[in-house]
Amino acid sequence: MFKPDIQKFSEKEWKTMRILFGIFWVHGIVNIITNFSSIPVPRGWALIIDLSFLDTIPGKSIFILVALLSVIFYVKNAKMIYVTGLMFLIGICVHTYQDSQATDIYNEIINLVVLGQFLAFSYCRYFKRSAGEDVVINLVIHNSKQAIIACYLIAAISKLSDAGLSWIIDAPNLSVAIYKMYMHNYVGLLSPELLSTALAYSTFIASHPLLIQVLFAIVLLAELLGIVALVNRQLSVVVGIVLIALHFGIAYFTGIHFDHFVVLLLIFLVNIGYVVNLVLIFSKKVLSSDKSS
Amino acid sequence: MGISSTLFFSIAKLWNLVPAKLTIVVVIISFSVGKIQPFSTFPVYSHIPPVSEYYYMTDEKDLIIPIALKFDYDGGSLHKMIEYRYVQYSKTYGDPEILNKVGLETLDYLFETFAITSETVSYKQIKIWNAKVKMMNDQIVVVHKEIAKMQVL
Repeated sequence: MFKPDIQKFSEKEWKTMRILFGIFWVHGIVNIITNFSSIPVPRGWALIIDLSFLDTIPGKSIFILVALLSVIFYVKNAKMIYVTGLMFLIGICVHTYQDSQATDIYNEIINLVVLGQFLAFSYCRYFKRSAGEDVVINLVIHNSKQAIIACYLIAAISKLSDAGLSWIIDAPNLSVAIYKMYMHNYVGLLSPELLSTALAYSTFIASHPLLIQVLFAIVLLAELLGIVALVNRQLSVVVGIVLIALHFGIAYFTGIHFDHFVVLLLIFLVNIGYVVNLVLIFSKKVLSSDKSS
Repeated sequence: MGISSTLFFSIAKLWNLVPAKLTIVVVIISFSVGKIQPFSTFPVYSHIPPVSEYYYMTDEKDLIIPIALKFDYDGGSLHKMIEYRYVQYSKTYGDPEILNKVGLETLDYLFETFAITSETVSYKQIKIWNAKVKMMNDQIVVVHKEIAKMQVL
């Protein structure tokens, strides 16, 4: 039976996750704020709230400063309810600002992770006052994983509700979508390489329909079954690696990248910081045993 | 104990049995509210039609203007801008009159944002084109159509 448990994590693992996620989050926020200077197509909250202060130098400076301060507190694990709450609000404003540049980055996953963490800290603070630091950490990481898994589940349900299983059958149509994607870059740069890459990818997809259909079927299955990552730590790593492998496979065959999804999978599902730490400890042990022998 | 409190406790007990609560709540809210931060239905290639399209800009001689090099803008943003502006007028995509209107609005925005005048660019006229892409016998076929044009003053 499917029974997700809140897994146990050490303070060291949580610290590694905080550092990696903090750097990733603030890098994205600063990048967006410095890259854009107008709101050409207001979307989402930008239709309700005036975000034009993000077009101004003082507005940009204040947001960057507050984002940097938030991340310092976040990494130090201090005042986490307020810090994650603030990070969530900054994320909502800045990512809405990015969405309003007529782009579809699907950055919602980042804000959902922050929201999940904020809810976990708030829940422990107001409903489980006796909870120790370890309980809080475990719930925060569990919520972060749930937020990531939710996005994949939603993507799978969207495919099934929009196209049903014909999504797999129609997969070779991707050739024209990929051509379009490359042409978006080509018409900006007029680089002949982009045109030849567009033709190469679309011809490859059109001439290997079965391969693309199998790849799509695996993608759909992985997105639907990703929720098993919540059962235990081993499955979490396995699901994380499978989803990352799929992202790389899709990028290789189609040129479509979702780098921020890969980063979040590496931090929270694969727990890359912990894996690297284990490898370092193991290699140190091997080296010291070699010296003693 | 009243019926309402019994019902409340039964629901609370049932809710406690639900696995992955946050995941389920996020899924339900996302499909209820659609795309508004932090929620989205993540429709990433959720429907892949056999015909696709893109937009580009040309000068008066119908030569493509490399908008990334000239205006630090890209084809993806041009496409999305036309698409998002279009859905503000109609949900049925493809009406040439609306496309023309939206194309002119987009040119207005670009002229203003990138300060396009006869002093800043050498073009006399800037046009927006729609290109429809489909696959025929494993070959890409593209049909081009002008949707809007504007004089550079």
